[in-house]
Amino acid sequence: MSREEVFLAAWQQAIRFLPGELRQLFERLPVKLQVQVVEVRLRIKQPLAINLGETDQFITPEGRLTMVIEQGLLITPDLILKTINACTSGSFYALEEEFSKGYLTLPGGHRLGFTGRVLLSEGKIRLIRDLSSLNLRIAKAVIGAADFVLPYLCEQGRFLKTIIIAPPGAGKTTLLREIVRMVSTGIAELNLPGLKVGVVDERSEIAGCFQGIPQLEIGSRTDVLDACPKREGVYLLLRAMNPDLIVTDEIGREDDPVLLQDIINAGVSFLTTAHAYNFEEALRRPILQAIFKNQAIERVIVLSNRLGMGTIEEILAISDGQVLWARRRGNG
Amino acid sequence: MADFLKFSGAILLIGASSWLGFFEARILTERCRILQAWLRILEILGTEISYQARMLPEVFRKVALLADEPVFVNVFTYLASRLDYGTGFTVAELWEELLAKQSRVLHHNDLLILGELGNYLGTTDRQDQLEKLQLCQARLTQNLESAKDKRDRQVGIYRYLGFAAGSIIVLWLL
Repeated sequence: MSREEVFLAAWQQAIRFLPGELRQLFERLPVKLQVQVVEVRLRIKQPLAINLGETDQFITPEGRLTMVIEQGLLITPDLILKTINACTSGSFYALEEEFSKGYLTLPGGHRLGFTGRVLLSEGKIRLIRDLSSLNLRIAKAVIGAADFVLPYLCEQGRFLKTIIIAPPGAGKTTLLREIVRMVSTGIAELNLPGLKVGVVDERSEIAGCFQGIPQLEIGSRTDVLDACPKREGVYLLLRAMNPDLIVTDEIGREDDPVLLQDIINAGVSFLTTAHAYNFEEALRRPILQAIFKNQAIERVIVLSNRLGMGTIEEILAISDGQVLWARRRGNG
Repeated sequence: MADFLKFSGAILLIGASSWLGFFEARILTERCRILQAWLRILEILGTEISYQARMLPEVFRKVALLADEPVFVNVFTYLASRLDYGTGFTVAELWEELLAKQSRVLHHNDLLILGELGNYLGTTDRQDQLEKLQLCQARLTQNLESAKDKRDRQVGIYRYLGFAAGSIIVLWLL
């Protein structure tokens, strides 16, 4: 299956969770656009919008793309309700926890994020109701996305401690997932046997679990802790699953340096991500600085959106400050 | 020949009115049976929604498996398939469709109580779902009690009246 065919299949699967009227509208879009859609956004009293990676566009009631706000199909409260109903099979009560977190994962690993009126209990979000905005994010596995970087991440049959740095929406999690899949399966060309990978998937984005079952391909030696806080998840994996590699998404909290140190002390490698536009910006963050100074990280991959989602900008070896690979500026 | 025709007509008339009486009596009995089955269904819904927190299609499949009345097996299997992802139906729409099929046996008030539940089913948190189901159960139990009472009092009367009314008409015509 080509990449376009995989993307189209993911898109067609994702729009099954929308009400019939929206589904019909999206089916009228040209296929070359359908494969590019990253997100579908519904906001009450605002036009129906889609995100195509770098641009946001609106959809007219006839199913055409437009940049003119007034021409877009206006989202009604009823349409929001219908969408929620379609995405939950009418079972709001079964997804109470998800409704307090602000998102729910759908079969296929697609995610529906939402905002609305927040109900608090003891200072924490208990429930989000009277929903006003929805964001359907299409889960797309990019098979082969990690082929280029993997030779830089493996050494003598060992996976090096790695961090992926990228701005939001640049394909961090996609690359992370693909690395997990490859490493878990094993890579004969790099003399890397299949490793036991433990994934702490705080926001159900890496494995896209639906009712505890990974919906995205993450390899046959991967154990997933779905919707689990990072700290608790890491220690649970270390205690219970004897992993070779621990994978988490988005580090940067105060206690993360200690957490990574504990993983290293247990003789386990790790792979994680952080939000930053480049390595220099990452170095300015006290937490990330502490992690880099400690030499906990062996490899850094920097991603951007410059030439489309998942553009690899550079690969660094932190221990000796060496740039292993860098994309040329300008024409890429 | 004329006597034979009169005799046949009389038998037909008595038969038809007796059947009507028996039919009415049967509806009284059937209402009790269906209400009883609904109470069992509400109990299953309460357990599956409140304690197991299963999704509605799965819950409906379980109801189809455990329902006492054969009529509910097909109905709830159908509901489950209609609620699966990508079908575009809402619970309220399907529930209405389900109740419309039972309007012959159930009374207006029974349908009203169940209809109200259909508007809420699935749309609120677990605690609220359980409360709504319990309220519906309590109201239907009252209806069942009065339906049983009516059945005990009126089944015999309907059967007797059907036959008697037929006989009186025959006598009057003769």
